[in-house]
Order: sequence, then structure tokens, then C-alpha cells
Amino acid sequence: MEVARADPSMLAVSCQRTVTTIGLPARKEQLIRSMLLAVNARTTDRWTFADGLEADVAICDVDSRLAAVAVARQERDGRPHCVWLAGDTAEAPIGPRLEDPIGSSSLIALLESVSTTLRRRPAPAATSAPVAPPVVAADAGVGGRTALDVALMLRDLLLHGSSDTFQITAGALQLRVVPSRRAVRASQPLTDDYLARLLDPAANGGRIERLAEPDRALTLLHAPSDVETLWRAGLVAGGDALAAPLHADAPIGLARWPDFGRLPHAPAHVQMAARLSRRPHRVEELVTAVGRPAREVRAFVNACVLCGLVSPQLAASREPRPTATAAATARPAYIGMGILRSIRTALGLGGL
Amino acid sequence: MAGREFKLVFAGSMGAGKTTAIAAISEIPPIRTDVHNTDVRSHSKATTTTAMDYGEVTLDSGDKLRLYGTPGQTRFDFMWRILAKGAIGVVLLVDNSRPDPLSDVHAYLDAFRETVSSSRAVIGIGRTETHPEPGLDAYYALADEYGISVPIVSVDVRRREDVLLLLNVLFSQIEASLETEEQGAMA
Repeated sequence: MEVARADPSMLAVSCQRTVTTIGLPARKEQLIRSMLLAVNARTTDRWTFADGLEADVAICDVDSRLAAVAVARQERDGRPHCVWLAGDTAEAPIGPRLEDPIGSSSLIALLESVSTTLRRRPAPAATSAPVAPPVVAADAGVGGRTALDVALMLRDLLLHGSSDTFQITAGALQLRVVPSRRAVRASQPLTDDYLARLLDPAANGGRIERLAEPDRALTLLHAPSDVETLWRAGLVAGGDALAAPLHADAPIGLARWPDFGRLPHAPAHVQMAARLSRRPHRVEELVTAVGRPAREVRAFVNACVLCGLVSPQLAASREPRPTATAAATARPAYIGMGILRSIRTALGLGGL
Repeated sequence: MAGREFKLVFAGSMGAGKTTAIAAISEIPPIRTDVHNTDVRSHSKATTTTAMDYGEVTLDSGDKLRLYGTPGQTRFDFMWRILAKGAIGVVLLVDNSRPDPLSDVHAYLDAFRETVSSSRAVIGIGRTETHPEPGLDAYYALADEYGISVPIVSVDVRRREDVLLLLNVLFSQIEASLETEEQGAMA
């Protein structure tokens, strides 16, 4: 008697999967949370509710603006698997739908469908980007490199998105990055002194190495964000010259403010950001406007470059942004520097 | 002679931290108008502001800076426009843990468009540490749709220094705007 051989795909081990909701009212989110507990015994994989766009499935409200973010992420990363919650009359965008009101059988069908899709999906390639990241060869030597050059190499590595692990070593100091996860690990807390020594080409040989053993990235204790790492690197390393392609004579503008709620900063940084976001300034103009040394101004600009805040369009001389003329006509006439100075004093904010 | 009065508005959805932010800087205990929250489906707070929060700061000249927190519900949006008239600026607070915070901002950008367009606004995004999405890029993309430039900062208004950061950013913008006008007048 021939023994029937089972289809290997039917023997797949149950996987842990997650569901989130985007823009749904609280009661609908609560309903889905409850239903997941009830239907788990009837699904191939084990499903739990999770917050955030890292989930496997995102059930989206058709009117939610955040849903566009989820869809963009799906197109870029392949997840979350976006599903539109649509009532009888609601017009949902093209894509999988889950009918509202939600029934357990339709939810189970959705989850099983996604499970099947995910099982069929090939394992992600190590990287779809070109294999050669901008890493200096071990024997390239310092060759006139500066700390800013090393910081720019770090920035380019993170943009490259490789899934390999890279390391900067300066004596006992180490910094590792996994670009595909935008993960940074440091052997010490991210202080100015630590970064200054780490980025010094005389100490690190002007190179960033690729590690052969990727899992070593998790063994360093400190995990600063990639943005904070680049920001601090710019401030520490970048005072002598401007990062390419900027140069001293070109006006510079900001497309985005630094997130000062998360990034260490000096009062003058807020002043500089306010001016650069209104209209482009040359370094010399900014020095005059904020009364700080040119080196400090260049370091701030370089930190903004490293964090992707400088707009190439704003790096060319042009008319001030529309806010400038709107400000003159819309602002109450009584608001002047004197009043603002008085308010700053009363709040302990410090002067201009 | 009575001193002059200036106004600063704190806006945002229910639970975004308007009352907390005003309390962080007001020299008087903020006056709050709370009633029982009947909208527990969308927010679990026991009480909510249906009128306004109020606080104040006395300036060295004897002038007053009056702090107003708007009611969070959109059915009171007519009051947002009233409060914004003549204000030095608006601090817009966003709770990133809400189901659709981008839609919340959409409503406030509509209501405060003139103030935001004239560089007299700052947006503070709260709870980003526990709810990192949407990220700041999504809010900047929304502002780009409106064709406006506005600073957006991650904050926790339970910390006084974060409230002061928002005000520092707001005032720095206004000062940069005044500086531009002065330079234009001298040219």
C-alpha cells in the first residue's frame, strides 16, 4: 500500500503574525482585538494585535490619511499587507477589502489568505541594492580624509540600505551600523568626546569595515538613533569646511527643521533653523545674523546636511518662501522685537 | 494705566496636552472648564475641556501674556478661529497615539491657516516614543500639501523644557520674520 505523501506546504509550522489598524474608531479597533482572540483557534497562524506599521496586516479606514503612509511602506518594504475596511456604500481604493460590519468568517478568510501569501513569498534577498557600499578598503589609508569625510561615509552607508553590518573602530571605541534596519550600536554613550575620537581618521584609519559576522551588531550596549548619531557627528566633526556639494558662497536653506525635541542643540541652532527655513542664507550672513563663530555655523549646517534636512532647491538663491510676505500682512501690528524680548525674559527663555 | 495684553493659543485634539502645556508656564493655576466626557468611544479621559483653558504670565512692563487652550472637539472649531484672531501665535499639539493624527492636523491647519502661513505657529507631536508612526516626515508632507512651512518637533509637554522649546521655536520664527521685514525696509 502506497503511503500518501503530504504536500510539504501543508506541514508548515504555525507562525506568529500581527494585525494593526489604521484610522479606525476605537470601538472598531477593540472589536478586532477581541475577534483575534476568538478566531485564533481557527487560523493556521497565530495572530495578535500590535501597534505600528511593522505589523503583517494593517486594516485601514478608507478616509485615513495615515493609510497612505502604510500603503507607501507596503510598496517599499512589502509590509504591512494593507486591507481596506469598507461598508456597503464606502468607496475603497483598489486593493483587498474587509467588509464592514466585520464578521468572524470574513476575518478568518482574510487572515488565512494573508498567511498563504506570506508563506509563498520568497525569503528577502540580502540586499537588492548594489553590493559595493562606499566603504574604504582596509589598505586605503587616511589619505587626507577628515572627520567630516568619515561622517559623510557613515551617512552614505545608512542611505545605501545594505543588510550587512559595518563598523568604525578607533582603539577601544566601536560603532556598528546595519543600514537596512537603520540600526546603530555604540560601545559607549554617544558623547561629543566619544564621537570626536571615533571619527578621527588618525584613530580609525579613515575607514569603515564590513563585518563578516552580522549578529555581532547586537552586542554593543548603546543604541542611539541613526538620526541622533548623524546629527552629533556633524556637530562634532564638521566645523572646518562645509559638506559637499555646499560651498561658502552658495546660499543654503532648510527643507525641514531639525527635531530639536530629540536632538541636542544650542540656542543658536534654533535661531539658525528659523532663518534658514525662511530663506536661504550664505554662511557669512548667518554668522552675522546669529552672532556665532563661522566654525559653529558650519558645524550646524553640516549636521543638517548629514540628517538630510538641507534642500537642494533651497541651496540656490531664490525668492523667499511665501510665508515671508504673508507674515507682513497677517501678523498683529503690535508684535515687535521688544514684546518678544519681554516675553522671553518672563518665561526664562533667554534673549536673542 | 492698564497694561497691554497679548495672546498665545494652544490648540490640539482632546488629550494632546493643551492643559498640561499651559500649566507648565502659567504663573497662576490654570483655570479649566471640565465636564464629564460623553465621547468615551474616541477617548478614554474622564473629563474634557468644553470651553477653554486659561493661564497667564505677567511681563516685566506690567503687560500680560494670556494663554488660551482651545476645546479639542471639532464641533467647537468656530471658537478656534475666534481665539486665533490677534494672537501672537499658535502652538498646535498632536497626540500621535490617536487613530488618525494626520487628520487631526488637517483640521487644525484649515482652522489656523492664516496664522500658520504667517510663520506664527509650531507643531508639537506627543507620544512619539511609544507611537513612532506617523513619523515627522508624514506631517511635513501634509504641510507641503497646504503649501506652508511650519516647524514640527517631537515633545512631551509634561516636561516644562519641552513646552519652552515649542515657544522658543515659535518666537524664533517670528523674530526671523521681523528681521526679514526690517532688512527689506532698509533696502
